[in-house]
Amino acid sequence: MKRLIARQRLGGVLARAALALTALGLLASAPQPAPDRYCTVETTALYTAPQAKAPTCGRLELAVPLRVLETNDGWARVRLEGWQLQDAPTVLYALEGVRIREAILDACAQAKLQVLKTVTDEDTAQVWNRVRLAGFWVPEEALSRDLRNPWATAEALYKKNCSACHALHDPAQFTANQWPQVLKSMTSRTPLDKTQVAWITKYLQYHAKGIDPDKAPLPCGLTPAKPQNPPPEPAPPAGSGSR
Amino acid sequence: MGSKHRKGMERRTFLKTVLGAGAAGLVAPALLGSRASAQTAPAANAAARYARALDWAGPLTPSTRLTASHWGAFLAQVEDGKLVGVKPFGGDRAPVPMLQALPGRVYARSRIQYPMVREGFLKKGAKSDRGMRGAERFVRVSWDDALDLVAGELARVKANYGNASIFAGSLDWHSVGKLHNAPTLLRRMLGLFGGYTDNTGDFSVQAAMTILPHVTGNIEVYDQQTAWPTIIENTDLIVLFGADLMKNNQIGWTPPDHYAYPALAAVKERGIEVISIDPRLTDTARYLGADWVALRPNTDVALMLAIAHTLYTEKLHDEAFLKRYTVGFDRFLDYLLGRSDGQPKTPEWAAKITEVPAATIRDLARRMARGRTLLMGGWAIQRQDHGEQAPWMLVTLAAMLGQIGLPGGGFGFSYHYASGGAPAANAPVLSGISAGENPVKTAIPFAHGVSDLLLNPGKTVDYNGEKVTYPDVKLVYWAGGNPFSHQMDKNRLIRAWQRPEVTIVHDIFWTSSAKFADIVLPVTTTLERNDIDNMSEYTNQYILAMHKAVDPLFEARSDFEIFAELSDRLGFGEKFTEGKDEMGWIRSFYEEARKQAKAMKLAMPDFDTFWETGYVAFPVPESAKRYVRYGDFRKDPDLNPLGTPSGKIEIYSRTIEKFGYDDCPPHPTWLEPAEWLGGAKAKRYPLHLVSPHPKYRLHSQLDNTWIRDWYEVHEREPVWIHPDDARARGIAHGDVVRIFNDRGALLAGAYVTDRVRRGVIAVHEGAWYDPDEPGKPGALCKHGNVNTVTMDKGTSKLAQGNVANTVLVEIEKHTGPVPRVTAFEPPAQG
Repeated sequence: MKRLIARQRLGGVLARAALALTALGLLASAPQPAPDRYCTVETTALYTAPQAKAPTCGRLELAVPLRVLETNDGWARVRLEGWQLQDAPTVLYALEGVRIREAILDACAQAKLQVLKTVTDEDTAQVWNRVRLAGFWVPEEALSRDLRNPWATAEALYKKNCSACHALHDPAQFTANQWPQVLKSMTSRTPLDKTQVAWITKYLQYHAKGIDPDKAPLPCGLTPAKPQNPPPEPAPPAGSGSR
Repeated sequence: MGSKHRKGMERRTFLKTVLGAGAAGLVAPALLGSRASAQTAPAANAAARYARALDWAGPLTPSTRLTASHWGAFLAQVEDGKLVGVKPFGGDRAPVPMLQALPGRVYARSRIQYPMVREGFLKKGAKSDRGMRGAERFVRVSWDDALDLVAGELARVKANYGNASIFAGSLDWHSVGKLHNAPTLLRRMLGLFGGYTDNTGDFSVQAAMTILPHVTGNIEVYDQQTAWPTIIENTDLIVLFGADLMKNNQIGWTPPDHYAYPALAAVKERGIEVISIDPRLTDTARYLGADWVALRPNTDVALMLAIAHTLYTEKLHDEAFLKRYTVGFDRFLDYLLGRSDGQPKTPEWAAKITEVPAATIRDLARRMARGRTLLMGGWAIQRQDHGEQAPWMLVTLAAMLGQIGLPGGGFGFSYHYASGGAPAANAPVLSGISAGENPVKTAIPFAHGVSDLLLNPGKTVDYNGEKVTYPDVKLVYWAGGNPFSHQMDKNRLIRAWQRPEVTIVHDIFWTSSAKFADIVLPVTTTLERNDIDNMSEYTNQYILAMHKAVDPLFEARSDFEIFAELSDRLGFGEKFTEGKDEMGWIRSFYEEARKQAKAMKLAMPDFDTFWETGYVAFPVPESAKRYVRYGDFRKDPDLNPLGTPSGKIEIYSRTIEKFGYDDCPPHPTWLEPAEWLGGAKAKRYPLHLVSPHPKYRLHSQLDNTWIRDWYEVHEREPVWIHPDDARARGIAHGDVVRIFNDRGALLAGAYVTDRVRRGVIAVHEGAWYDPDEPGKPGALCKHGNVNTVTMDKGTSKLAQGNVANTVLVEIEKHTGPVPRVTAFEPPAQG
């Protein structure tokens, strides 16, 4: 099995591909994503119909896990779930109380939101809703089952570009909320373009301080965010240790 | 004490003094625009600016090569293979005089000429007497032998103790350039070697950059600030908290373009009100005619609390802003009003702590609330005990004023650094050589931790909600830095430095760090090698070629060359160089930028043309001049939340509450520093010592040039002392004095001036260490390195930053013969 296929796009062969992957999933030791589960690999508008001229109701960001309900000539009708601050229905986040942004929703998308449950975050006393959004169309080329490649690229770009002026920061040194702001201020000193920064942001957010890999399983073929144990060293000295 | 300096200002400004002859930077009104002309001027001026960039003596030739430094970019003039002069790059808006010290620096007597090994170490290796470090003579060895020795020591230590026992020093100021970045090259090599113990954080800004992500979700200190043209158009009042823009903007991590100077000229021209809260009358305060509020050092938080108290009780604060954009003000209010601790933070309360009269404090609050107010935080206020609190309180004060996100209002922590607030160009950015990943994950908060690390293997310290356990360091490798200058409490460092089995230092000069090393490798100055860089940190307006101007002196080699050779010996030479030599790397950085430029639809010439021309210039878009920090947050806090847990400004932090640190409470709090004028220790040591950044050096860089003749007093680093304090001790202007406390002592030259308040003395950091008994803990520094008396303590369990400005001392007139200064002489060699 090719572990690092560049990108497995949706297509007319959806059913066949799904079948094949299910079969592979049964054979492979690592759990495979369910057949209808995809992630965005490009930012895209949320279209009201499967055509480029259709009105749009918001935008999806990168690395957003979603389900494909049906496909139609290069378009996919999708469903996604996420979290929102009760008084800020414009923004959809991946996790409760954590600002890993997945979508920005216009009024026409907000109207379609279905609230699944409501919780109050104990630290901030803010009220968060678990919501579902279904029925919008996105171009199939914005979706992939496999995020391993862009993820590995993001990791490599981070390590190369963010260790030129200072020591490379452990991703767990900042929280998922802090990382976008930290990158916003620091990446002006790097050659990274906007898309690269967006991928690095997502990569770091999913590896950030306080992100529990059990509660935030990475979608689309990725291994859990943790553990980040240091590799074994030859003869570690007595009294040495790592954070 | 508030005292007006506005009226009496001389027209012969500090700016002109700084600029010296041939200054090209005084074009402020035209460049930045007054309120009236701001709409029309900038575009036309862009063209003029590029024309000016070309304004140098003809094309580049072998005798005029362009290169760059932390002080600016310049043309190096070469005659008969020798550097004879420098001429500022035309794109520098206010060239600084320190540039002129560079030719002398190349030929300084303190240059390390050959690879050198401490005699005892050469004979006995790891079993040598480590107490002889800093005292013993050095022996010249060949490059081959030196490199074999270093590679052998690395391999031995790795095999015996593991990679975590190798400490890679800190990321100090080295020299500019995207390739010849010594600390990064060191880490690149050690990363390929299996890893090393690294530092984390930032010596300059550790407390601020650790607390502020909990407050605004961002590090703030290196962020794009509200642009100067916007400030000049909109701001009514600038309040400086320990920030000296005139002095500190001279230097930059990348070659600076000194944008801040015409901006400050425009501030002056427009008559924007300025208040400087500082124990010193700074150059900035003098130049801008600021009102000087000379508080006691380390009491900024108490002063700000009382200002906040006045704002609240006089209903001058912005309730609506606090409600929409912040959390936790109610919890903070309980403290402010004394409901939680029984002590209302009134101006009368603060007057006792700060010695600023209550009436002045009330007046400050009212003035801040009157118009558009911008609070500029320097970094001195966080290099003190509990240094997390002042930046937090400054943000809280700005939140109460309610102008965060409005043009010219709010706060900023980078206006004194690298011309923060300069509008950014639309330009590609050069990458650079990178360290890559470190397989060893141990990183210590080093801003105070180097001695602590070396002295206490196995010790666990708190750090920002984590625990860090120190490894047992056996080998210290330092390149591009000078820990014996910057680390607090030098005598503790000398004892700590005796612990590792081997210490290796790359340096250009016989700095004290080189003198304390076992193995010393001589490196080239920037002028002896090729490189490339962006100019400047916040504007990115130019890509500069950095041409080699002269051949390497003596046997000096570049850090890149040295680490490449070592990598070869350690078996990963190809991975280190990636098959590229010096020019290969420079070319690749340029080509990468060219690709970006193409995507941005910007023209860049091919590499060879660029290398011949020397620079590429990029346009600054109009929008960059209108940039308002937190403008987007203010406009739509839901869509643009901050990086805090609540997405808002956290005046009370649940995260910090959960850390449960006794020395960093969950809201801004006045905490007594370990040493201050209001404390018990002041009876024994009645003077508070501050150690600001120097005016004519970059830390310790340039002290070994003729430029020190400009500031030294009796060949020593000057100490600013108030006339009353001098008189009480029988000290006259120009006397050699001894500054001391329980930690150590230094000699300095008395500079009697009322530019520093009573009870406070100031010694700029970075004078070269010059012990009367080399290598010995407790030796007297004959020349004036201030860190012989500073305290090596963390700001708190949160940040573990250094507390450079929390120091009490006594001072006396030096009696007996004045010892000769030997700081700049090479050690005994055989």
